[in-house]
Amino acid sequence: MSASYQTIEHDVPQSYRDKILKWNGWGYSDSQFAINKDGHVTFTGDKYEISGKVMPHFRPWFENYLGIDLGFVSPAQKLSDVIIDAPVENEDIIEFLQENKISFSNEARIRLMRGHGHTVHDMINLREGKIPRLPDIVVWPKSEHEIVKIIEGAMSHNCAIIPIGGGTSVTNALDTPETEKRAVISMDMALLDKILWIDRENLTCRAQAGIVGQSLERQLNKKGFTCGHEPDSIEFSTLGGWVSTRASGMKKNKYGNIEDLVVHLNFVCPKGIIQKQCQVPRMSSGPDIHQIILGSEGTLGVVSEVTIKIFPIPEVKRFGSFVFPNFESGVNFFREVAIQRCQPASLRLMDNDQFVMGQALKVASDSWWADLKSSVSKMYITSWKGFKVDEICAATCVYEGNREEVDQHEERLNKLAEQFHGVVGGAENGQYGYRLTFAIAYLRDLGMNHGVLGESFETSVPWDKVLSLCRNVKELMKREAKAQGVTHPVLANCRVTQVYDAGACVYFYFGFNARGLKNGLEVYDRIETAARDEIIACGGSISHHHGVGKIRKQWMLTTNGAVGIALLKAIKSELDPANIFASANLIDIIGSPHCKL
Amino acid sequence: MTSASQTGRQINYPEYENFLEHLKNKGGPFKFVTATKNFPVGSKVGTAPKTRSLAEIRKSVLESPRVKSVISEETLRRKCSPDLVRKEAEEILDEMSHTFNLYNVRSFGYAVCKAMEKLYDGIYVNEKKLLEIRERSKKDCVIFMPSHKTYFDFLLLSLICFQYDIQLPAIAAGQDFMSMKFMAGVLRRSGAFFMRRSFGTDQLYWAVFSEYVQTHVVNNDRTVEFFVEATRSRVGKSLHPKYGMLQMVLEPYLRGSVYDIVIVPVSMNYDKILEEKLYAYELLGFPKPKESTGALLKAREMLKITHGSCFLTFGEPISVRDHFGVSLHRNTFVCQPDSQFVLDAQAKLEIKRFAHRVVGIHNQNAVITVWSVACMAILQTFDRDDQAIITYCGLYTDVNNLIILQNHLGTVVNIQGNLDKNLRYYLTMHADLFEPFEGSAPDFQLKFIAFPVAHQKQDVPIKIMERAVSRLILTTYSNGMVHAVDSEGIICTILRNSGITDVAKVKEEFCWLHFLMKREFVTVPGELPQLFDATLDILRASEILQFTDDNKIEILDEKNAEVLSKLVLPYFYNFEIAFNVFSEKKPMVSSLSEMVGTVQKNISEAYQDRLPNIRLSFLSTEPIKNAFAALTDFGVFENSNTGMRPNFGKLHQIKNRLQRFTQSENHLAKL
Repeated sequence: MSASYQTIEHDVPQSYRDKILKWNGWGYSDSQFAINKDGHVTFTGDKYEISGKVMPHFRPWFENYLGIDLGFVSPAQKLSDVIIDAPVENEDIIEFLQENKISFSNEARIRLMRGHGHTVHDMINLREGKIPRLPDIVVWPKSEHEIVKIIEGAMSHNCAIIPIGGGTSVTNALDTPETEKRAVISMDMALLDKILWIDRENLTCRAQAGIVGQSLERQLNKKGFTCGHEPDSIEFSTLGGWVSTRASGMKKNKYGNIEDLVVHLNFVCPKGIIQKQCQVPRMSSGPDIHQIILGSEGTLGVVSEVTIKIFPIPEVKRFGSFVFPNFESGVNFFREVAIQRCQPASLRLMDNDQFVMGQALKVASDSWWADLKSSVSKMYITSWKGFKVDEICAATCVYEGNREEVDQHEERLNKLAEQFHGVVGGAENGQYGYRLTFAIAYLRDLGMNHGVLGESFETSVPWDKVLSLCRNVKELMKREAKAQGVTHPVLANCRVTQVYDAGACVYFYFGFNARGLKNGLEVYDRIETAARDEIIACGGSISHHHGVGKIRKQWMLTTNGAVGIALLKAIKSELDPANIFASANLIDIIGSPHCKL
Repeated sequence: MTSASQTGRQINYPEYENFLEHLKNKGGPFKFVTATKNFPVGSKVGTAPKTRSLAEIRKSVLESPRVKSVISEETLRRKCSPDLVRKEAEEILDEMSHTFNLYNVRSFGYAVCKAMEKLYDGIYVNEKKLLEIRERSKKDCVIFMPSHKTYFDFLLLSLICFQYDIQLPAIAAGQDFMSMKFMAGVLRRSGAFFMRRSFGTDQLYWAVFSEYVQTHVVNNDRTVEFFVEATRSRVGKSLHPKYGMLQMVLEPYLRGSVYDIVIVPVSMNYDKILEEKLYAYELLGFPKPKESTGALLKAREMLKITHGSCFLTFGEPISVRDHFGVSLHRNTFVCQPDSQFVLDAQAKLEIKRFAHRVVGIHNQNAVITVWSVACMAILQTFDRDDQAIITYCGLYTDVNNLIILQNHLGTVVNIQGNLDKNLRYYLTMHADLFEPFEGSAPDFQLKFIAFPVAHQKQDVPIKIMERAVSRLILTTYSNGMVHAVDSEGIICTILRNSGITDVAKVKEEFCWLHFLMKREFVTVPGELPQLFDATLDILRASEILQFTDDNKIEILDEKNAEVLSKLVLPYFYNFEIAFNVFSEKKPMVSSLSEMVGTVQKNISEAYQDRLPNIRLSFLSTEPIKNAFAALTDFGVFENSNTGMRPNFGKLHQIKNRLQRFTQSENHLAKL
C-alpha cells in the first residue's frame, strides 16, 4: 500500500475489522477454500465445521459446471500494491474531533477497510483496479453523545457522513459517491458493541447498534436467551445494520424479521434524536415512525441503540430435510406449509442446480459407514422412487421448541411432504444444508481467483408467481449471458427461503467464467440488470432484504411511484436538509438512472 | 404496401424447395408418410422435455385455477351443484379437444399427399426458415399464424411440418367443420381443436377454451396454429384481423408463465383455389351451404384439373419477448392474480397493432403471380368497355406494362420462365372460365362464360348474376396484388382527382381514406402517417411524383399515376354506391343485412343502364358489408327501439369527402 500524505489520528481502537477479517474478500483471514497438495479443494482455518476437511467432489463440479480451469489463476493484487488517494483535506473537522477527544484516523488501510461492502464490484475493485473514492476520515464514536457531537461537527464544518456497521452490504451502500466533494466521515460503530440490559420480565434486550450479531447471540445464549434473528451474515453484520437495511434471517418463520423484533430504538439524525416515548409491543399513534427508519440505509441518520425481543433458548433444535422429485413439487409443498401455517423456524428449498452445488461441497468422511449410508440413500431415491438426478430438489429445515412440540411438528411436516412426493432426507442433510449457508459466501472468493464473476441476489414474490419467476429469471440469465458473449457454462440457480402467508423470498445465485471477455464486469452488470428487470416483470420485488443501496436505485421509481418517491425526498429534506448523510442510497436528491420498466 | 422493404417473392431454388419433388424423391406418398420421424419434444422453460398425454392435457385444463374459479362462480350464479357445472366444463372440453395421434396423421397424410400430387404442379416452401423454426420450437412454443384462403391451408402447413420434423401444430378450427362428421374426426385426430365462432358472455366456455389453448403454449406440447383473420378470405386479399385468439395466446407470456413465444407468420398463396367458384356464389349472397363432407367430396372432379402451384412462405420468426419488450410492460400486470388475468387497454392496443403487423407480413411475403396481374388487367379493360373483346396480345401488353410498373415501385412479381410462357400457362390452368381457346396460337380471343345460377335473387336478373360469377373470380385473383399498390394508388387518386397538392393536406386525406377503407386495405393502427411518408418516398424514387419548391406534390408521370389511381378507385366506387342506399325518404333501417340486397339491386340497375364506374364484382356482399361497417365506425348509425336511423348529416359529410376523390357527381342523380 502506498499513501503519500500525512497520517493524522487519535486514540485509534483495536478493532476486529482490522485484525481478523480479510481486506479483499469475505470473512475471516484464515478461512478460505484452497487447493491442497493432492489437487482437491479444502477449507482452511479453524472457525467452521468444514475447516480442515477435504471436499473431493468440489473440483469436478467447479470445472464442469462453470468451465473453470483451476490451473489458471487470476490472483488479487497485493495489499502493498494498492494505490490509495490522499483524503479530502478539512482541517476544521480534524481540530473539532481532537478538541472533543473523539477517536479518528485518516490512515490509508483503515479508510480502505471501511469504504466498501461485498458486491462483485467491491471485490473486483479491491482485487484488480484502482479504488474509487474512499471515505476521508474514520471516526469511532464511543457513545450516543459522541454520535450527536460528530453530526454537529459535520454540519458545522461541511462534511458528509456514511455510517458503517458490519460492512456486509451487497448493494454498494457503503461506497462513497464519487461526485462528493466534501470530506467524508466514515462513522464506524464498532465500539458501540455492548448489551445495555436484559429484561427477563418483558423478554427484551437493549443493545448498542454496533454489536455484531454473533456476539449478541453468544452473550444472550449465556443468559439462556436467543434473539432469533439469524441472517446469513450473522457472523459479521450488526444490529444497527439489520435495522438500517430492514434485514431478514433464516429463522424468520418462528421469530420474525427485524421489523417484527424491534420494540424500540434511538435514531440520531441532523435534526436530533428520534425516540419513541414508551416501549410497548404495538401502538396506534399515526404512521409508525420506526417503519421509516427501518430500511433507511444510512440516508437519514444513524441507529445508536435498539431494544429487541428476546426468546428463551429452545429446549430442542433439530434439523430435517426432504428430497423432492422436482422444484415444482417442492414449491407446492412450501405453499401448503404456508397455507397450514406450520412452517418450522427455518425452511428452504434448493433447486436442482443448487442441490448439485451443495453435493459438491460435501466433505470426505472419516468413516466408511457414512459413505455407505450416503450411497444407499442415493440409490433408494433414484432407483426405487424414480426421482431423476437432473430434477431432484432438496429442502432443509430447522425445528425449534420443546421436545414434544418439535416431535409433533416434525411428524406433521413429514406427512405433508409425502403428499407432494417428498422423501424424508434425515437430520444430517438438514444440518449440512444449514451450515452450507455460512460457507457458501467464501465460495465466490475462490471463483474470483480463477476468473469467475458472481453474485447472489433476492426478491420477494407472491405464491402464484414463484414458479414462473424462478424459471424465467434463470432462463434469462442463461440466454442473456450467451447473448453477451459468455462462452462458458453459466451458474444460475435459486432457492426459496423465507415463507410467508402471501408469498416467499427467492434467492438467486449467478456466476460465470469471465475469462476471455474484454469487459467482464460490464457484461456482468448488463446481465444482472436484465435479471432484475425480469424479476420485477414477473411480479417480484426490488429486494426482499438486501436493500436498495446504489445498485438498485434505478428501480425505485418503478417500485414506489413518483408520489412515493416524493414522500421519501420530503422526509430526507426535513431530517437532513444539508445532506450530511450523503451515502446517496435509495434515492438521489438530484436524480438517478431509471430502468426501462 | 406496409413497409419500404420488398413486397412479393420470386420462386427460385434453393430458397424455395418443391415439396412435390421431395415427395417423388422419397419414393412417393406411402414411403413419405411411413418414414421414421424425429419430432422434437418441446419443453417448458426450466424443465426437461416431456410428452404429455391427451389425458394429462385434459386434466391440466379442468384442474387449472381459472377453470376451478369459474366453476365456483357459475355454481353460485346458477344455484346448482358444482358437479353439474364441472360436467358441463368436461363436455365443452370434449367438444373442442383435439385427439392427435401420429398413426392417424400418417394415414390421412397419405390421402392428402395423393390428392396434392394430382392437384398441383408444385408446392413451394422456403426451406431455410423451417430449419430455424424447428430449432426454436425446442425451447419456446411456436405459434403459426398463416394467411387463410382455403381449406388446404392447414393441411399443407401440417404436411410441411411433417416433412421438416416440426411438431405438428394444434390447429384452432372454426366449429363449422364439426358438421362434416367424417372430416371433423380426421381433423381432430390430426390435431385440430374446435372453437365456437362466438362465445361472448359464456364465462365457462371462455375459461375452458382459454386454458385449453394456453396449456399447449405453456407446456410447449406442440406448435399451435390459428388464423388471425379468423375466417377464410373469399376475396383473395387479407381480411381485417380479429384479436381475441391472439390475446389468448399471448397471455401466458404477459403473465410470466412462459419465457417467450415465437410467432411465425406464414403467407400461403395458390395459383388456383379449389373453392374459387363456391366463393363467388357465396359472395353473391346465395345461402352458404353447410360444409358437409359430401359437398367437399364433389371436388373429386377437381382432381382432373391441374391447380398449378401453391406457395408457402414462412416469415421471420418473431420473439414476442423482443417485440413487446418495451411497448408492453409486464410489470403492470403483476398485481392481479394469475388465475384472473385481465388485459388493460394499452395491452389490447399493442396486441391489436401486432395483429395488423402480422397481416402486413402476410402481404409482404405473398407471392404475386402473373395470373393475379392478368386478372387485374382484364378487369381494367372491362372498366373501359364492359363489352370489350379480350385478345391475348392485348392482355400480354397490359400485363407486361403493369409488371414493369410494379417492379418500378419495388414489387416482385413471380414470373416462371418468361412472361409469354407463364401467361399462357395460367390461361390454360383457368380455361374453365372461358369458352374454348387455342392456347398455343400467337393470338386468340378470350370470352368469359356465364356460370349457371339456380334461382332468382331479389331484384337482380339471373343473367346479371350468371355473368357476375366470373367477374368475382377475376376480382378474387386480382386482389392478390392490390396490397402492393393500394397506398400508391390512394396518393395518386388524391392528387389527380381532388386537386389537393399540399403535402400535409395530402397526408391528411391519405390517412382518412385508408381509415375508411381499413377493412379492404389492412394497415397498422396508428402508423398511417409513417405509411404515407414511406409510400411518398417510393413514388418519388420512381419519378412518378416530385416535390415542388413550396412543399407541394407534383405529378411527373401522369400516365402511371393514372394507372395507379385506377387500380384503387373501384374500391371507392364500391363503397360509394353502398353509401347511396340510405335515403332520407326512408330513414329507418331495420337491419343492415337487409340493405345489402337493396344495394345489389341498385348496382344491377346501374350496370344495366351502363352507368360509369360500375363493376359486376360490386355485387359481392363483402365490400358492401365493409362499407356499412365503415359507416358504423364513423358513428353514422343511431339505434332506437324500432331499428337504426342514419345520421344524414354525418353520412353526407362522409359521402362528400369521398366524392372529392371519386368525382362521381355525374350519376348521383340517377340513383
